[in-house]
Amino acid sequence: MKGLWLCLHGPRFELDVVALGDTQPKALVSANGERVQQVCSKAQRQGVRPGMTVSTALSLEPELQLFTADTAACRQRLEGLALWVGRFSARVSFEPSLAGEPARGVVLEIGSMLHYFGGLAALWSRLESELAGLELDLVCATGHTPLAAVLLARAGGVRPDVEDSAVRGTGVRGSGFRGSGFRGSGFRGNGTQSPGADVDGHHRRLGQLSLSQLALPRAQLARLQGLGFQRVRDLLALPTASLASRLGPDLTQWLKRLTGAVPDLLPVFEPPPRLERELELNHDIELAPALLFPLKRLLMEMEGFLHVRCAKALSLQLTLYQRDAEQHITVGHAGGEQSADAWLELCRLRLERCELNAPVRRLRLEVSELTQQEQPAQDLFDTAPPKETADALFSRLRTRLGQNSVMQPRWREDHRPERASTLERCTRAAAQVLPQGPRPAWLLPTPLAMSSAALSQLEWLAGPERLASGWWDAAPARRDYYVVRFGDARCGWIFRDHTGQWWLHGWFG
Amino acid sequence: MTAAHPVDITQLMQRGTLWRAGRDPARDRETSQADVLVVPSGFATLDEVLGGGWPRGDLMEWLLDHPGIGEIRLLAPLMTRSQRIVLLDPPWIPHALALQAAGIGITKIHVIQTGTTKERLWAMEQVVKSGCCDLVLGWFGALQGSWLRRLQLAMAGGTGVGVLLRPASLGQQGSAAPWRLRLGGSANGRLEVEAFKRKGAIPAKTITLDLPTSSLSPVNRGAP
Repeated sequence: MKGLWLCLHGPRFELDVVALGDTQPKALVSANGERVQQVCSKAQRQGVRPGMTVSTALSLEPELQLFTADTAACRQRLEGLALWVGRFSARVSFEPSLAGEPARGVVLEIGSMLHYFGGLAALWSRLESELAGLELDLVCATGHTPLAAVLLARAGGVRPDVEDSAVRGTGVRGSGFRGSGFRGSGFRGNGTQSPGADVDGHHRRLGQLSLSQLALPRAQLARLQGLGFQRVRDLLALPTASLASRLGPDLTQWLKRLTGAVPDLLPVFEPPPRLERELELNHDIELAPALLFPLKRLLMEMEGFLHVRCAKALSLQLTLYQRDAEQHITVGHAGGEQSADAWLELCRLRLERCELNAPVRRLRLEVSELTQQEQPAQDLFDTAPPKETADALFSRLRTRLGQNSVMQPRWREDHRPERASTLERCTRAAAQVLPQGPRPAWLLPTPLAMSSAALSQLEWLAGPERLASGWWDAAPARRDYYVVRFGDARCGWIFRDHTGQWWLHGWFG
Repeated sequence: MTAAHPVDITQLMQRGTLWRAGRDPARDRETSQADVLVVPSGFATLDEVLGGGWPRGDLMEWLLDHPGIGEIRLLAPLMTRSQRIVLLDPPWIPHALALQAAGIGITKIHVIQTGTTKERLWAMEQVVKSGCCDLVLGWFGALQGSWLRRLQLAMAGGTGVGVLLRPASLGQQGSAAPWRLRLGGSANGRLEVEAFKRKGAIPAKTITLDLPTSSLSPVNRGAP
C-alpha cells in the first residue's frame, strides 16, 4: 500500500495549551499534584525532568510555574489544529492514542497532495513557515503508514539530539519545529519523485527506534527486552509467522500496521458543518487592536475549515465576552475571502475603529455565510494582473470608512432627475428610457435657489424642456429646464418651478 | 577642449540640469513599455502635449478654475473604455442617466465618500495601490507635500490613470505630481488645457480643446 502520512505531534501539548505565551519556566503536573509530567525547554535546562516529584522540581527551579491539564481545552485545541491542517490535506485524523496516553497531534495523508504542492520539499517548507504562527511546540514527521509517522514524530520529541541536527539551521525560532530528519536521509523532493521512493528511508529510521519508544504495553515491552530485542529492526528482521507463534498475534498485527502490510484505517476527522470557535484569553484585553493576536489563530483555523470545503466566508461574527456583557462585531467581505491574512487585515481596520466597553476575557468567532470558492477570471492578454480584486479593495474601504462609504450611481423609473438618479449601496438594474436632450454629468444633491440678479448675467444655450411628473405623490414637479452658461464659462442646468422660482440643478462637468 | 563637451552634456543630463525637450519615441519603445505607459485621451492635440495620451502609473494633478468646467467630458472617451472607475468625494452626485446615455456604463462607477482629508488620502492610496481600477479621480483641497509624494509612490508601477482635482489657487504651490494641468473654460464653450509641468519635458503652451458633442454637452451643436 503506497502512501505518505504526516504527523504533527505536540510532545508538550497539554502544557502548551494551558500555559500559552508565558516566558517563565513551567511544568505540567499530574491531577493529584505529585509528579511532573511535562516540562518546558527552559525548565529542562535547569534539570527538571518528567517523572520527578514536584518538590524535587521546585528545588531545582524555584521559579517553576505549575499547571494541571485542561482536558476540554486540549480537545478544543486539537480540533482547532485538525481544522488548521485542512489547508494541507482533506484526510485528517487525530493521532491514535498509544498506551493510554491522550492524542497529542494529528495525522494527515499527504501522498495524494504532493503533486498539488509541488513536491514534499515545497510542502515541508510551507508547513514550516506556517507552523511558526501557531504557537504550539510541534514535532513533524513523515511516514509511509500513519503509525510510522506517529512513532517517528513521538521519537523526534523524545530524542531531539538525534533528529534536531538536520533542521536546526533553518532558522525557525521559538516554535520548536523539529524535522523528522528526512532531509538527512538524502530525500530531495523535486516534485516528480514519488513518495514511495522514501519508504526505505522511513524503514531505516523506524528500525533505529528503540523498543521503549514504541509505547507498547509494559508487559509486552519487558518480554521483548528480556528476549534481547533492543530496536525495531531486530523485530522486523524476523519472519512474521514465527513471531506470531511465539509472541502472539497482537504484536504481529501491530507490526503489520507499522510496515503497511495491513492498511491502518484511522477515523477521519470531520469538520463541523458550521464554524464556531472560542478562545479563552490568558489575560484581560483592554484595547481592541490587542485582540488581533489571539484572533489570528482563530482565523487560521477558519482558513483550514474553509479550504476543506472549497468555500469563502462572506462575513464573520466576532463576539467579545466581557465580565458582565458581550460585544458583537460583524466584519464583511463583498466577494468572500478565504485567506486568514486578508480577514486579519479587515478585522484590524474594524477593531481600530472599535471601542471596548470593558476588558475582554473570551473571544468567539463564528462564520455563518459561506460562498463557493471560484477561480477569478483572468484575461489571457492581461499584462499586469491587478494586485487585488475590486471586492477586496471595496471591502477594506467599507470596513474602515463605514458601510455607506462606497456607493454606485443607480437609476430608477422616474422623470424627476433627483429621484431617477441616486447613489446606492446595492446593485439594482431597472429599465429606463434614456433622455434625449442634454443632461449634465453632475447633479446637485438638492437644487440651489437662484436670485433673479444672477439670471440676468447668463447666456441661454438651450431650453425650455418641460417636465411634469409626480402629481400622484408628495413631491409633484412641474418644471421648465434650461441650459445656461455662467460668467465663469461653466454650463449649468437650471429650471423654473411652477411658482416662478429659479433653481440650479446640475453642472455640465 | 572640444572633445570634453559631449561628456559634459551627458553628465548634465544625468544630473537633471539639462533635459530633452521632446520625448524620443524610439527610446520609449526600447523600454518596451511605450504603449503601456499611456492611454490615448481621444484628443489629438492633447495626446501630443501629453506625449501619447494620459499617463498611466503617474499621478496627474488638475487645477480647475471651478469644478464642473468640463472635466467629465474631457475624460469621457477614457471613461467609456475603462473597466472600473472610482470617484473619491466628488463635489456633486454623478448623474446616472446622463452618464448611461453618454455610453459610460454606470455599473463600473464607484463613488467613495469619506469624512476627513486623512481618510480621503488613505482611501486614495488604497485604491491606487490595489491596481484594480483603471481611473481614479480624487477631489482634494490643500495637501501636505509628503502626501503627494506618497500618492505618487503608490501610483508608480501601476497601470491606472490617477487624477487629483484641486482648486486653481493651489497652482503656485509645488507638487510631487509629475504631471500638472490647468483647466479653464473659454467664452465659446471650449476647454483650455495648460500642461505647465510635464514629466521629462518642458512646460507646454496652452491648448484649446473642442469637447465632443454628446448627451453630456450643454448643447448639441448640430441642432438649430
